[in-house]
Amino acid sequence: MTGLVIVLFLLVLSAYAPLAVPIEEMGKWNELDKWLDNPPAVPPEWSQVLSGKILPRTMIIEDFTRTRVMIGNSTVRETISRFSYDFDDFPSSLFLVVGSSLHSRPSTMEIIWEKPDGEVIKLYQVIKRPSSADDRFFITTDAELKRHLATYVRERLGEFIRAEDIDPNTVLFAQTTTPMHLREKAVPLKGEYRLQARLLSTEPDDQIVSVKLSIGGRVHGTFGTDSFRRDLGVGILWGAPVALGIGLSVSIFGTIIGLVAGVVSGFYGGTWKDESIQRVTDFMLLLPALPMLILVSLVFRIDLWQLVLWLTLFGWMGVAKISRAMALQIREEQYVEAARSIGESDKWIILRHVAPQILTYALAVIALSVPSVIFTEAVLSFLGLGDPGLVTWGRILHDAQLNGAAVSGYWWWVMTPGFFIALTALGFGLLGNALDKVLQPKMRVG
Amino acid sequence: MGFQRFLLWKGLTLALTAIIALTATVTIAGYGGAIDQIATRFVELEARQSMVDDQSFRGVSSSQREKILSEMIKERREELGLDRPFIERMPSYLLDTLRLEFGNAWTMTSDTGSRKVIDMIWEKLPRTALLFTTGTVMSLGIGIPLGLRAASRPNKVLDKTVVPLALVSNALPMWWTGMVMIILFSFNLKIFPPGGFVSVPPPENSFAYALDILQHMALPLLTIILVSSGGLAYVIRNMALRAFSEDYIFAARARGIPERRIVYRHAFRAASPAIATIAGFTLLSSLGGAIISEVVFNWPGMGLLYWTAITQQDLPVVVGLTYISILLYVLLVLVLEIIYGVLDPRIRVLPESR
Repeated sequence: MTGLVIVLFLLVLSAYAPLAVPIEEMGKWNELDKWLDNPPAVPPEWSQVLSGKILPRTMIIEDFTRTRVMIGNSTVRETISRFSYDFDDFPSSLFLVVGSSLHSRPSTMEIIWEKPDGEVIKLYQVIKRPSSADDRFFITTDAELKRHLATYVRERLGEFIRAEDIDPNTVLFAQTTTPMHLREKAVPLKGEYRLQARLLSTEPDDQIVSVKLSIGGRVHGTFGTDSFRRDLGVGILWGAPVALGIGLSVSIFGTIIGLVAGVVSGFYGGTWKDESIQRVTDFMLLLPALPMLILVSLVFRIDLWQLVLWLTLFGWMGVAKISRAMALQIREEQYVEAARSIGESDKWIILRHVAPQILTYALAVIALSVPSVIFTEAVLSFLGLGDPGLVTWGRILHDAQLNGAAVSGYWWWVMTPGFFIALTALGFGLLGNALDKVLQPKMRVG
Repeated sequence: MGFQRFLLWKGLTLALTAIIALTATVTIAGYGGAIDQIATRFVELEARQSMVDDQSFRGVSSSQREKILSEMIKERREELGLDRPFIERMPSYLLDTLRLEFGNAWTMTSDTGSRKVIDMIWEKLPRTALLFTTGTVMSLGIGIPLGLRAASRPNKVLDKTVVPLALVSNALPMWWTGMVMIILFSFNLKIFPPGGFVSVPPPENSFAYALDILQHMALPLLTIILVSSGGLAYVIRNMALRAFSEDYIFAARARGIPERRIVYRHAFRAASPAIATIAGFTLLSSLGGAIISEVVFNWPGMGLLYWTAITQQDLPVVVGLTYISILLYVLLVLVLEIIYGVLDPRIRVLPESR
């Protein structure tokens, strides 16, 4: 029963994944440029319960108002983006993109930060050339800005502070009287912040087209983010249809092959057909699947469909062995003998009398073999040998391992993908056991 | 006499399997010229590097240099036999691999600096064996008594806990459990080191050295035991249940023989062939899982070697490791057959007379 509930939940999740996140979005998993709005490696939103504070969420501010002031013969075009900040901690990343359209001459652009207490900091002054792309400001890591802010903090606090010790996220959101260079001691200032972008230009048509400020939170989404700022929710969600698709298709194909081989082998038990099928089965059983699969995936660079094919190749022998034993028993039954005595063909007897009985058992086998397929797939993805175009739970763990998530204590990056692998394995294992008991009352143990 | 013939037969079948598997491995590795492509790229890179390093090429014009370069590559390719089709080279390649001569690695070296693949494998194999046999033996030490006790009183408290425990632990991938253990015991509680074989620098005296290794082994061992003993207990319970339903157990209980004695003398003896097989297969499957568990714990065994070879695309190392894995697997199966035959004389029958 529990198994059925888990499997149904996973099926619903798989159906929900393409609706919540379109497949094109998922395809951008590897394009790290697309994820810059998110904070790097922060835990899920619900985890703030542990800290007892209201931690900053990720905010993206795209709305702004335009003004225009004439100074002499040049015009100052200004945009103001307003947002209110009410959190107990500082953000973990700040990223600003300003798009502008200039026509012929270069002009100056200034970015100005205004805190709720009226404190004004000029962040940037850049020369903007016509037809150049959007300006991207990596506020959190910008070394020049850090030097600039170090001077600012020195003026306010009267202390010498090295630029390397400056965290712009803290300085820009701290109360001016608190030690702004120390994240632990500084106090966040709540209230309405204003970000101004100014363009000083002589051309009448020049203007700022877009301003987008991404404030990365200390917590993000339901699943957190990884070191590359990717929303793990997208990967976890899309992992479900991929895992279920691979797991089920390999199990179904493998069971079908195994059934055919087993039934034929058992029905013709003792003949050369049986003998040759058995030798092949024994040989395949003796092969260690994982090292072979690793070699295959390394040499062939397999995609999703080839992976299903290879996994199937290594996953039919168990069914063949058991269904052969069952077929051996069934062919001795009287109704088979009766069918034979009235001259029915072998093919007909197998299809009509032998196969249907084993088929019910096959359902249980399909469910029972899903976990090992999912494990193997996860292992291959973990080794970095999976289909590069797909996000799988194993692949998320591969990235986690490469970036030292476990030793850095990024529990959300490690726990959730593995939890889903374990949940899927548990669900199908329970379902298989239950089906086995229902369909095979004779084999019940204990 | 029968047992010897049985062994001979089994040994031959397994040897044949190993050879066919090796042929498959080599064919896959050489298929479609994938090996050749990587090798050629490697040769090109090497030639280019040597040209950059060589001062005497500084004054030569670029077209001249390209010509010399292609000449160098051609020579080197002939030297390595890359100009002949793979099919021609396969028999000798196969024979070398069969004799465990995997040649030199492309980029990797062993800890002692050797470039020979086989040296690397011999260096790592004992460490893998140390960790995973210890782990399996300890899991058996917990799983066997637990399973037997559960079977001796079916549907009682212990039995009712073993079943869900087994289902859950069966669903946990060992390597992922290892990652969780690192977060828990190494990052949060700071009890054990997160990975590695010994501390850097290693302790001087040998007692402290052994203790240091033990400390590094603790977390991986804990993981292996946690993941495999539950499932083991469950399988052993199912095996022993059959033994416990036999008349002689009933008779033994009727005679008032203590339950402990019944469990270990009567039921365990009867179920031992099956348990031996399970133990063997647990070891085999834990060796399969070792590939990744070692990566997680940074344990410098065969698994970590595999990982490094895969990330560095060092094909000779991968082929060597794959072959050694197949060989180990087949050897362990043979040992299992022997143990099974010793424990259960009924099995010593050849297929044709069965």
